Amino acid sequence: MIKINSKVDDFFDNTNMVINPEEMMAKRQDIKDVLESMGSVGQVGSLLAEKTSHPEGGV
Amino acid sequence: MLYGGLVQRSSSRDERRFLLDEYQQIGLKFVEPRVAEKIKSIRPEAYWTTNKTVQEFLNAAEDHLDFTVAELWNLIYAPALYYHDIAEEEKAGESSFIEEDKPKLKEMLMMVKIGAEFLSQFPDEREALRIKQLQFLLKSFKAVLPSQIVSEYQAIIEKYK
Repeated sequence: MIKINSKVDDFFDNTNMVINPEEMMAKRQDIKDVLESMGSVGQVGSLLAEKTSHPEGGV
Repeated sequence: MLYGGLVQRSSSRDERRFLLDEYQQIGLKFVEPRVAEKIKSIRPEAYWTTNKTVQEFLNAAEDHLDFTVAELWNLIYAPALYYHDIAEEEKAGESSFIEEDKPKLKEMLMMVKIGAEFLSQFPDEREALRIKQLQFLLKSFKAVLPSQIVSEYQAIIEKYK
């Protein structure tokens, strides 16, 4: 269950809220992969990333 | 923020150090080289606290994203975001630093000073708004921040308002 007063960083560092820590560690070089592995929370990050062009081009 | 979690949940000092170095490389990748060099003088454990601020995340909603400007504000805000709830995070087991590795106040002050020093060198059409944001942060967090950090924030506001 997601606490109402959760902060964004809790999804990355709170042991009760991180869904798949091993996967996050393994995929850390590709943030798109990490966000995909985070389910609906990760979708929010992906949508934000699409808002601005990356300096290297693409998302 | 991802590296914030990886470092806080890491099980060994060696792994933490490895991740901290990786985080610094990623964090400085698109930052102007002069600024990046100066930031490298900050101990990685202290620089790591910038993962809490992720100004790139907020600035990405603007028309133009300047990674150097975002990084300067990351440096300025990091101590506030770290100090305002570190006691709670430690209680919740969300901090794995041993005592000697924890970010030190003098390092945090140095980060704020570096951010403030370079702000005037990078044109930012939203500077006035960011100063208002800093004023708001100070109003909200003043009671839980070290007095030296508060003084540094007040100096920035005075200089740029």
